[in-house]
Amino acid sequence: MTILRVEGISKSYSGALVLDDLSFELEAGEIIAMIGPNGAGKTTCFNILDGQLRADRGQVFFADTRISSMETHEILRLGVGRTFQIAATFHSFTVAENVQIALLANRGLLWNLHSAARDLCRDEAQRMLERLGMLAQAAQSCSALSYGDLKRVELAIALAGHPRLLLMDEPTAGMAPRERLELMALVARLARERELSVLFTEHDMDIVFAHADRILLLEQGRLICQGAPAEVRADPRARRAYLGHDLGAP
Amino acid sequence: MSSIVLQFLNGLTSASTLFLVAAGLSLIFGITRVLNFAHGSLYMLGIYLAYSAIGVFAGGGGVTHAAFWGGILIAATVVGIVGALLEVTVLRRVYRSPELFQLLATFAVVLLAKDLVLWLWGPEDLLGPRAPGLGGAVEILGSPFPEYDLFLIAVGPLILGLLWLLLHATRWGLLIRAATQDREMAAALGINQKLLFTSAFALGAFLAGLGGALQIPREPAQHFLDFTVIVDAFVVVVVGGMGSIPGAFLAALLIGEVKALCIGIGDVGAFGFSISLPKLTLVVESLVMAAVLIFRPWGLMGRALAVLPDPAGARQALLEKSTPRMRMAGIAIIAGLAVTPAFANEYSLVLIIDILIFALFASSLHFLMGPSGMASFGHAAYFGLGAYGAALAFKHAGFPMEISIVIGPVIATIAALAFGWFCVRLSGVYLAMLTLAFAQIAWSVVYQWDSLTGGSNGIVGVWPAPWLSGRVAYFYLVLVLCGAAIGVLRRIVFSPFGYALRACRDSPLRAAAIGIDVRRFQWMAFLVAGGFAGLAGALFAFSKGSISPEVLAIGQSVDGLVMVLLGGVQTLSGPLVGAAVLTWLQELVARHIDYWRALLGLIIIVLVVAFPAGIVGQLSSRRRTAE
Repeated sequence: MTILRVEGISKSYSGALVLDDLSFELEAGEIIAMIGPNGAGKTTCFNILDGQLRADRGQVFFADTRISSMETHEILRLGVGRTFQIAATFHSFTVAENVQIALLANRGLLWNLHSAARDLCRDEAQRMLERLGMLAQAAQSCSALSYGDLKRVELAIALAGHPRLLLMDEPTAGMAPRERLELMALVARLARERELSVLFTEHDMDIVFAHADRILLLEQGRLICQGAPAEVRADPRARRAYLGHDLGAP
Repeated sequence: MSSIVLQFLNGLTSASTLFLVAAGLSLIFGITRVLNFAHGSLYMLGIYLAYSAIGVFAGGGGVTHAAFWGGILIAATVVGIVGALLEVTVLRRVYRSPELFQLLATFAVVLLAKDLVLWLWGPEDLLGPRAPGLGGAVEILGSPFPEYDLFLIAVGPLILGLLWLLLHATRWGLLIRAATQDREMAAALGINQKLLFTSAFALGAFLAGLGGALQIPREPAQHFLDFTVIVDAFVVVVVGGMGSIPGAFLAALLIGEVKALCIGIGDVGAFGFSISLPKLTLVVESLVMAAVLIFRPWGLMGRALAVLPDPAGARQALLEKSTPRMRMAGIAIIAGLAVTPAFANEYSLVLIIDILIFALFASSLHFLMGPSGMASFGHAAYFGLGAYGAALAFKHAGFPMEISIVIGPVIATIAALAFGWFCVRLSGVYLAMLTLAFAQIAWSVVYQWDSLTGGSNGIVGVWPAPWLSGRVAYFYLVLVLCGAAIGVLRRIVFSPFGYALRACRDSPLRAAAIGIDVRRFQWMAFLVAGGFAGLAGALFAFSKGSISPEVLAIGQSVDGLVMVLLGGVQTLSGPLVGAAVLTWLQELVARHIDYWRALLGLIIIVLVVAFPAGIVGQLSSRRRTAE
């Protein structure tokens, strides 16, 4: 089943074409990496997918629902989770409360003006944090966390909505090398368990080749090649545009 | 035809003055990111100083060219120096405080300046001399038009040109533009920020002083000019785009002409109503601003403000959860209040009623500013509409008092529904200015609608029902209703709804990314805050027996802001303490000291410099460090 279908989206900022007729599909349970040099249009593509930006042309479908003219919160409610290049969390709350808010939002329980929010969805938030190895920090304030932990909290928030598709913009940027591998291994494991599709951008090719089922290579807003890691690795266009020759040698 | 042309010229004249003040305000904001409430006071200082300086130079004889122009230049220069001193002594100490604290500091300067002017020049209007050589009038299309006004029309573009040269052809201008675009980067390049900030502040103040001084032949020096001017200047700066000098010029032209046109058109009859446009200039001005902000959220020539990094200490802390000791203290205070009537005299009872009502008012404003993260400069609109709603239901519709006291908050809620819908489409300073505009509209309507609201006289004879007419009975009513309302507000803050609001404040991006409709939640926050402010207003009306448009004037909004900021935005008990302190101070000080505003201003400055997190905020953070 196709979970995400992107049909010919284009976007330009004041004359400069950032995305040029981009099309691709994502199957249920698939993990796809979108790679390419800085300025290739990866983040713009993500921002169009989650409704923060409008494409000039083209359409986006999420499980057959056209989402390219919907508001961000509407798209995310359909079952899309997202993490940002710079981790965005609710910094005046504890780690557990961050996850609780996401759970409450997912269930439409936020229009409640009288219950004590601290006691709602508590156990479930704890379980989620346990999965991500964050249980020890559950009661800490988000503003006191290290950046790597913050990224993990963000992942917990994104997963709390039980998404079918997870959009991760540079999930491991700013993390230590070991943390990176651990985090992506965790994402891959969760994806397998939950039949979760993942679209992520990444500059660390070890992570990309270790976890991606398929790779999309963007350059100057155009999709210049796509396929399984081995295919992309062997593709001369990919080497020229991004990977360089040294990485190509197995 | 000729009257339209003349009004057009009049519009150009006032646009010039508006531009001078707004350009300074915009310059200061662009570089220091401080919204200088005291800018109107600097203007006022300019006009008073010009009056005195010209008088001294003329020395009892005729006003010569030298005396007149020298006086104006001296006045503007002195104001510039005052601005520099202000920056060095007060503002420099609060650049790292939250935005709203800087606002509070500049507001304290407004209070100081007002009393300074009253003390030095007295309360009477002072009429200045005419400009020598420009005292006559020229004939334009058969009507006389003052020569001096023609001169003023030329001053605006002249100053715009000079400013442009200064900003684009000098090294100083280059630095100013760099720092306006990216303060962090400018600092990283090793620019001496202190000098830059002080000089920008001095120039901005000089322009305000010049704008004021140049008015001396046209209008008398009056001690309430500060507020009229600052509101106009805010509108111009916001319409033009914060930090944009050409934008300020364009907006000054727009606003100046719109105002002149209102006066030119005069009374308009429609649907059996006669609307006097000249009296509604403020409404029209605010409507223009609202319209511009909705279609161009950053003003005509502004752009989205670069987000400044969180200054140290401004990080939102976790909200205090009530410890058992705090809960005991709360119970003790309520119990203490409940037995107060047994030994308090009439005077203290009235004071406590006021404090309770303003504690609710401040709490409702805090709900918007703290957990919801939306600063409102016009919260008096809901307080005042609540008061008027209740009073009108009681006096005109003949409802009993018990029902009228419910109708007040309902009216306020409806207003919040309408105003809030527009406001949540903006953020930060722009949102705050739009709330101010709506409050000014509400004030003007109440002030002008004589037949319904009694105009400036207000409504009298708004007395509680017989069973509540005793001071003690009414005290208990206020204690129960305000106590319950504050309790409900507190509960909402800790409810899922309150969490959602704080989430939207912390990170609108992340909130939307978990499926929260950010605007809708913020809109509802307006509703809640407006409703509770309306309840405070309704209780206020019946406690005083009469109300006047003062209840929704800008002064009332500012009182609310001061209460919240005094107590501390990050704490829930802050607004209660702030309301008590301010109400008590106003009562106590106003009774015994003539220049109570100056004293209040000084107290605020000391508090802002010494307690950047507010009284309660400071106490609790000290407790945390102690633990």
